[in-house]
This record gives sequence, C-alpha cells and structure tokens, in this order.
Amino acid sequence: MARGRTPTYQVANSNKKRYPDNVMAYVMIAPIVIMLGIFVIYPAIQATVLSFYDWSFYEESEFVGVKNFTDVLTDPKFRASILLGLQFVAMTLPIQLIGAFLFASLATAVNRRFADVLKVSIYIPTIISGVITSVIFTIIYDYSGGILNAVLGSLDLPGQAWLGDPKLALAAIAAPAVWLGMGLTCLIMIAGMLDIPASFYESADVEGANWWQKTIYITIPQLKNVLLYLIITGFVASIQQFELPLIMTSGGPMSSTELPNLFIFNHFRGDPYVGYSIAAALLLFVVLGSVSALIFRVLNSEKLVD
Amino acid sequence: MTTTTRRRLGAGTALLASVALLAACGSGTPGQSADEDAEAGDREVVEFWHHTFTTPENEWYEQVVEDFNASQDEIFVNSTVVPGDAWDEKMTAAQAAGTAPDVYPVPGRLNDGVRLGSYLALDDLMPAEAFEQVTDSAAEISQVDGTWYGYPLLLEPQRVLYWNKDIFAEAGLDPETPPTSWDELYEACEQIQPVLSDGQFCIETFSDQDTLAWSTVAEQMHVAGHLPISEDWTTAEATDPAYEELIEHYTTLYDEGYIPRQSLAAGNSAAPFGEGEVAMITQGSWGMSELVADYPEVVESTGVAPTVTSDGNQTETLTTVGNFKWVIDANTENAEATAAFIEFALAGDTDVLLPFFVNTQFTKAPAREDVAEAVNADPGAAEAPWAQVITEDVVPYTIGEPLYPWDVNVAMGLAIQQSMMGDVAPADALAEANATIEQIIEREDLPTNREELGD
Amino acid sequence: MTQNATLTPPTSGGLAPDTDTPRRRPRRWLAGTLKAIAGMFFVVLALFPLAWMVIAGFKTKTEVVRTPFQFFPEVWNTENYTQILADPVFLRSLGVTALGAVLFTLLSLTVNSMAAYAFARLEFQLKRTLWVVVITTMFIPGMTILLTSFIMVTKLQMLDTLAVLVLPGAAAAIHVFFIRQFYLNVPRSLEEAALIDGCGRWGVYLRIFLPMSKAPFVVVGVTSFLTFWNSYVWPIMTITSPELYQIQQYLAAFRSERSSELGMLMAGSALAAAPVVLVFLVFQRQIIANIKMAGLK
Repeated sequence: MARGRTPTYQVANSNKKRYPDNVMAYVMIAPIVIMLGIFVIYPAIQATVLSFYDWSFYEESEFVGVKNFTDVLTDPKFRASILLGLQFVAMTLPIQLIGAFLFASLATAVNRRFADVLKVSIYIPTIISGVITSVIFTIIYDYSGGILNAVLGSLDLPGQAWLGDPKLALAAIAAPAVWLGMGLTCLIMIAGMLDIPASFYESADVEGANWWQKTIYITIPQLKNVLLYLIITGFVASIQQFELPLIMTSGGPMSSTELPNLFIFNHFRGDPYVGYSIAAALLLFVVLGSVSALIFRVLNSEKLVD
Repeated sequence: MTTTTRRRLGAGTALLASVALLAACGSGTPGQSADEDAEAGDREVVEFWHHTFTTPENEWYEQVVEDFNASQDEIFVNSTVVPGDAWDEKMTAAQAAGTAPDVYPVPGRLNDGVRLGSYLALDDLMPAEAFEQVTDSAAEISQVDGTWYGYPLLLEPQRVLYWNKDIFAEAGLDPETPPTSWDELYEACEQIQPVLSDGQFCIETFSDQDTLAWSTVAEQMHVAGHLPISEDWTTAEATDPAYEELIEHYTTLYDEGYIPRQSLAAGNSAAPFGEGEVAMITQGSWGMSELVADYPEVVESTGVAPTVTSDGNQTETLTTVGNFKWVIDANTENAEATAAFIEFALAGDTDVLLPFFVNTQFTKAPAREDVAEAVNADPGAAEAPWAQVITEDVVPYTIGEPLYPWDVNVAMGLAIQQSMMGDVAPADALAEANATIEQIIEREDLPTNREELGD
Repeated sequence: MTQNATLTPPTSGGLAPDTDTPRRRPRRWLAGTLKAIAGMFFVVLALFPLAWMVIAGFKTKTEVVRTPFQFFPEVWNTENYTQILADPVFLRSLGVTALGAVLFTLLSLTVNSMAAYAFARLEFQLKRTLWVVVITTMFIPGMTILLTSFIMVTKLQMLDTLAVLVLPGAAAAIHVFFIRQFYLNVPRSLEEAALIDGCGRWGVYLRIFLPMSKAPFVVVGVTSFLTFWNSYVWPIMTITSPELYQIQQYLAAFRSERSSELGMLMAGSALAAAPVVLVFLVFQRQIIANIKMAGLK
C-alpha cells in the first residue's frame, strides 16, 4: 500500500540513502509497537500456546494437542451460540441499514437546521455505555411495571415476558443493540449520500424521476461501497455483542441470548480449565478476523485507486 | 503556528506529568490503598476477599476484620469487597495470574476445587479442637474425604415459603395456614387470583435456568427419591417419570399465570414479596433478613413456613442447604497467618459470631454447636417467630447440595425451563437432559472422580 | 452517469406541468409535515430511553416499575439525584474515570498520531512488516486475550492502578490507520517547502502535521474518551479498590447489590451519562462532519 506512495526522488537516490528516516521513524513508532507488543501481541501468542494445554491454575498444565479445539468444534452448544449470533445479526443489521437509509434520506432532504437536530439526536445513543443501556432497557422490559407492557395493557394486549421468554429475549436484546448502533450507521450513510454528485439528481429531476426511482437508480448504486462497509462492520460488531446480554440476561433464558462472545466469557469464568474458552475465542477470531481482514483489504485497495 | 506549537508542547508536558503520576500510582500492593499500606506497617498482610451480602452481614465482615487487626500486631488482614457481578471473572483471572486472595468464602461444594488443588488442607494449620464444635451437617460440606478444606460459617435453607397474611385473609383463606402440597397451592392461588390487581401474582418461585438448576435439587430428590445421576456417577437417571410430574408442576404454575413469566427480581432476592407484588414467594431463609432490613412494614403480616412439596410431606428432603465456608488459597504464602485469622473469626469465641446470627434476624443456622446455643439464648430469638420455623421445621429435613458438577444441575434446570416455557414435552426435555448428563459423565470422567471422593 | 441513461421515463410525468399552480402548495406543505413527523419519530425513538432514565431518576424506589403504570412521578423528587451526588464513592468514581479518560485520550492521540505519521511519510526498514503487524492487531478480538493480557498486567504489577486502565488500550491500530489515511492526503508540497526551510522531519511533524490534525484528532480523541468512559469488563477484572472504581463498574455493582433501589440507579446512570453527552455536544459539529472519514474515505 505504502509502496505506491513512495516519492520518486527517494527511489532515485542511491541505496545507502534509501532509508533516510530510520532513526526518527523508529522513535515515532516505538511507543505503539512496544505497547501493542506487551498488551496485545504477546498475550495473543501466549493465548495461542495455552489453547493447546489443559491449563490448570494450581497444577502442572498438561499438553493436550488440539483437544480443546475438537472439544469446541464438537460442542453443540458452541455451534448453537454461533447460530444464535447469526440470528442476532439477522435481527439487527437489516433494521439498522434500512432505518439508517430512511433516516439519511430524510436528513438530506430537510433544511439544515432540522438536519442538524436529527443528526445530533440519532447519534447520542451511540455514546451511551452498554451498562447504562442495559439498566434502562431492563426497566422498560420489566414484566409487571415496565412501560412496554403498560402500553400493551392499554391496548388490551397481554403483557410479555420480554427478557423471560426464550422466544422474545433475543429480540429484546436486539432492540437496544440497534439503538446503540444506529447513530454511526446513519451518519456514515448521510456522508455517503452527500458524496453523490448533485448533478445526478438534477438530471433525474429533469427527466421527472420520483423519489423511489432516484433511490433505486442513483442512490443505492452510488452507495455500494458505503453499504458494503456498513454491512461488514455491522456484521462483525453485531456478532460480537456481549455486554448487553451479559448484564441483561446472563445468556438466559435457556441460553436463548448466549451470543458467541458471552458463551466464551461464561465458560471462562465458570470452567476449572480455561483452555476450552481460549480455543473457542481463537476459533471465533480466525473466522471473524479473516472475514474483516479480507474486506478491509478490498476496501483499502479500492481506496488507493481513487 | 508558534502558538500551536506551544500548545502542543503544553500537551506533551501534561502527558509526561501524567505518565509520572501513573508510575506513582503504580507502586503499592494490588488491592491495597495507600492508607492501608500505612496501617499494615510491617505486619504480615493477609488478603481477604468477600462478596457483598445483606447490610448486617457486610457490617459483621467489616467488624471482624477490624477486631482481628486490633487484637494483635503481627498480622494485618486486608479486606476487599468484591461485588456480585464481578466475583467469578475476578476470581478466575486472579487464580490464573497467581494472585488469588489468601482467604475467601466459598458457597457450594468443595470437591471440584480440591480435585484441582485450589485449597489448602486446614488440618495441619489449625488445632484439632477448632473443629470439635462444628455440627455434622456443616462438617459434611467443609470436608472432602475426611480432610478439612474449609471452615464453615453458616448453613441456610435455600427454600422456605413466605406468605402474605393480609392477602390470604382478603382472599378468604385462613391467614395462618399456608399451603403444604402442590394441590393446596393451586387451590390457594385460584382463590387468591381474583383479589390480585394487575401486575400482582400469586407466587414467585425461582424461574430462571440457573436458579432452577440449584433450587430444584431437593424437589428432584423428593419426587423421585434419587437424583438425576446414579450414586456411583456411572449413568444418568433423568428419565424417571417422577421428574415429568415435577416439570408439570412448574408448567401448571406458569400456564395458569400463578407465577410471573419473567422473574420480578434477581434470583436470590425477596424484594417482589416486600413490595407486595406477590402473595407468596419461595426464597432462601435469608429472605427474612432482607425483609426485616428493607421492608419492615411487611414483616408483621409475613408468615414463614416449610416449602410446598409434591405430596404435602414436609418432613423429608425439603430443601438443600446453602452455606459459606472460608478456604485458604493453595498458592498463599501466608498460610499460618491466614489460618490464625480464620481461627479468630470463625473458630474462636462465640461472641465474635453471635452478632452475625442475631443481626441477620436468626435466619441462618450456625455451623457450631456452641454458637447455636449462644444464639438460641439470645433474648432476640424469642421475638423472631420465624427463627423457630427455620431451626425446627426446616433445618432437620434438609439435604446437602449435590457433589456432582454444576453442569448436571444446569441440564435439569434447562429441562424444566424448556418444558415450562416452550413446547417441549416433559419426557423429551428429560431425555435431552439425560443425554447431556451422559455426555458430562464421559467428558469429565465422573465415575473416577466419584471414586476419588470416597464416601 | 450510466444510472441516468438507464432511468425509465417517469410515470408521474403527466403531472409535471401542474407543479407551479396553487395545487402544488398543499402538497409541498404536506410533504413538509410528513418529513417533520418522520423526523420527530426518529428523534423520539433515539431520545426516549434516555428521557425515561432521567424521569425514572425522579421516582421513588417503588414507583419506577409499578402497577398501575405511571408515566411521571407523583412528586418530582430530586432526592435520588441529591443522594447519589452526596455519595463520595460515586463522585470519586466519576472523578477517577474522568481523570483516566483524559490521560487515556492524550496518550492515545500522542502514540497513535506519531505512528501514523511515520507510516504515512517516513521511509524505513521493516516498514511493511511492522505495518502488517500493527494492522493485524486490529483484528484480534479482546475476548481472545482477555485472560492472557490480565496475566501480563499482573506480572507488570499494574493491577489496581490507573495505569492498568490507561496503558493497555491506548495504542490502537484502528486509530493509527485512521490518522494515517488523513496524513496520506496532506499535499507533499507543503512539507517539501518546510524541509527546504530546514525544519527537519520532527519539525514537519510538529509544525505542519499536528496543527492540521484537528479533524482526525477530534474523532480519535472523542472515540478514545468514550471507549474509556464506557468500559466495564476490563475495570471489573483489574480494579479492586473502591478508590479507583470506574463509573460503569460502580453502576453495575450498584445494580447487583441494591437491586431494589431503581430510582437511585436511574439517577446514577443519568449522571454518569451526562459527561459524555456533554463532551459530545461540545464537539458534535466536528464529530458529525468527520464521521465520513471515520467510515470510508
């Protein structure tokens, strides 16, 4: 990536002058390399090594080869949590994207002041912590005194056990997740829409196109990259969600909200041996990491083109 | 541009200063603030972690540490309160890093921890007399294969029934006669429901999976006469039709709307009862001290009784007993000092423990004979009518918590919940639980574990 | 341009000539009203939960969830707010979290922007290798290294200090990447002039790049601040002394221990959210303007 930007005058220089900035460069990147090395890279290597052991805290750890990995892969509960993660993505991502699309269409069609109010309002939830969000939504979902059941009650509908019914609990977690994630999605969508040259719409107006046609033939195709980006980042963020179910339901009822990361976390804090949870985390990392790395590469190289 | 540079330099200086500050904060032993460092002086420091419990319990913990530190000048106990939401992850992480506290309370069985080598044996660290007064049932949960690994603090029944006499009277029921069997419970609820307003329920039982997992063990034993795994841990025995009846009991409560479809509060809190949201609640005996402390206005009209059983027989396997005992971490470097603290707090003078049981409103059973006598002799005992129910009508008919791994409990809890909330037939849910238990038996080599445990 | 070519003829074309007649006016008015309603819908959806939290903070402990349901408190009781503001542990955790967040933000800006500059503009051996290493860390989920990084900070004697909160997360590949993208777009002519003036590479960084970095710095700074302020799992694992309790840790502990005091919990949550909302409102213009860089370009 950086190669493409290498200024010609340096390349033209003789070999001994190839790296004129060595000292300064190392001074500048030393802090980050050291910090990442200590707090991320070394622990990641150690985790990888430990995943091949029956790591016990009080006795000699025993090398067990790939046993932890086969345990994870053959554990129906791990597979169930992955499926649950995908289900959760299906509940959150489309709503987030469609909602953000509608919101962005609205925000780009109103006057500036109103658009500012809209943007600020939609973004505020994004800055609220998972703990506070869980606290708020738990009282909203309260069975006998929550506002949601009160609304249902006033419509003569029976109250629902939002967090207690395994059929509803995942959706009940999805709502605050969308609430938290909406802001960033919306603003990126707006930025993407504003990047579309106005001339496109002007010529469409000349041809008398309506909103729907403009959306189908101009907006969506022009937003292709933005949408791709949002889908991938949304997918990765969504499937990794874990604070909300951790605090709101601890994964229950009947494991119906035990998303992959929470599954791993629950194993980590409950198991006498942690090799299993580390192996599960690594497997998840390999899958998600390579998906996002791949997409990152694609997007990144495209960016270098323009 | 120069002003900007200056501002940058300013930021740089601030950063350097802050790094220095961090370094300054970075000294000191983990878990210890500067004040405590000073207080400890050059005394041997014993790290003590404990959970947060109810207010009177927390006060006792604080007091006992303070008294111990004042009683001698060799050892300093540094007490750290770890909130409930953080305990598991904090403890796992500390054990992994080798920085677990020297002493901490443990609920449940010790055998798994002993198998993994997590605790020190207490036999060599404390004099034999220290264990003489421990009651049999407390000894059972503190020993593994004849060796002491924990020193017990208390025993408490995990299920008793609380009922609201006012609501009973309003419904035309005898306010002094609580239901004793499932059928009586259904009848009572049928009569109570008409007088309840929206958002009120007949009874709150434990209904989330984890709580069902531990709270129904005694019921499983009561209905079937055995637990869902054979004595020698070789085969799963979860498909007993008696368990189907147990599941149907919960399904009835759920379908009839006698219990709320979502827990009204955390699994171990009597708050819904205190707030008048339910006419009855099944809760551990600790619920009474919570009610006395937080909802004094309902105490007058609260009755405490042995829990409802399938057949109304209340002299057999009523409930498991919860308990806390203190253990010494196997990696401790201060074993002697830690043992001295345990001896002072739990194995010494009865006066040290008396306030614990008095202030928790006589809702817990002491783990030592002499302490029990002292507690019963306390004038307050007579004014706590529920104390007698707990010690005489409940405690004698309890069973210990099961020794098998927690996963087995969870499998049963899941079966009950699946059937209660979903469309799974009880027999199918139990078959699934049975398969899960078989898996656990194989994965964790339970028969061998069981043999190692001795009797 | 191809999009225009494929546009189908508008079906509503027949109405087009009418647009200037008075008939158009009610329609425009109608569209405006619809937009306003739709906008209000989004605003309410976004802000209602927060408003609900603030309102619940004024309720007594039995009022927050009670039947019959009540929207507003019977009496607007400020007691929860005053009581929690009088709690020294709450105030201290607000203060400690704020201090930590500021240090964390400064550190994050410093180390990440330096690295970003080096990767954007300097030529050095191992550049490519190091870049790949740094970028790879971006894809390591926290869960994978939760336990092993805990062991690391324990070995470094950092447990239960502010350092354990500030140091581990400050270096972040995503921020390096983001700032670097910005630096790559700075015209070379600018720095070449400075280099000729005898500024040297440091001078170029300090005098040209840093002053221009307001936009990415606001985004990275605010993100860092929020990350720190909102973190929960790491503090509960590493911080034990109540003196260093982080605000989320405080709230979660409050929730698990005093579960019946919902009113106060709500008041505490509202007060804990207030600082970040304020920080956001102060910087909202820059954040919103710069979001598109945080995203794709």
